[in-house]
Amino acid sequence: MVGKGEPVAVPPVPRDDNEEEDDTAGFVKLISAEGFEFVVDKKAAMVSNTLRNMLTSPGGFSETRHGEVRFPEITTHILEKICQYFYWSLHYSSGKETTEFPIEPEITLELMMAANYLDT
Amino acid sequence: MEFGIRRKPLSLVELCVRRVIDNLRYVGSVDGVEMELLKRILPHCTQEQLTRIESRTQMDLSSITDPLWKLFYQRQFGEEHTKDVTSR
Repeated sequence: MVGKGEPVAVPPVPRDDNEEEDDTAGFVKLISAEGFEFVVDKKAAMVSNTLRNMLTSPGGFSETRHGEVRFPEITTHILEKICQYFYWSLHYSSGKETTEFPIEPEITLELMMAANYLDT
Repeated sequence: MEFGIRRKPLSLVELCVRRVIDNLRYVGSVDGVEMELLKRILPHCTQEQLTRIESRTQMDLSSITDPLWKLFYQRQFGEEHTKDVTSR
């Protein structure tokens, strides 16, 4: 018996506003060549088409089932820059960001190769 | 205010390609860069820049640079002379 006729408070079922967003909830760990780990929102990681495919393909890649992806060919400072781009891109799309994404000339070539690989 | 208008940011590849083109005077080796990207970048080089890049790069870039060198030649020695040389 529950109380004396008072309404039972049903805890709201935690639910995403948008069911399609289910896929983009949570975090994913991106690991650089040197083993440095970047934990980013899945939504941010999916700015990269390569990562989007990995994270959404049915069955899934073994790496992504554990919520982590290793990049043995991407150095830490490049991967960091890429993670910054993911968030810049999201903020820019939503209109919150108006400044240009800064790219230091000395890392441009390496960043371009990694970005090309990640299709981002 | 723009409501509900989602702006599409340039891809990181695109931003980098533009950045490289802006800084061609500092570019040396382009080893490891995909040919598809180089096809977009190298036509922006001056003769001097192209010479430096080719001499510092191990990869064979001639499929991209041959037509560029021909253009430089044409510009310097004229259309007629170029035809003359290439027909030999």
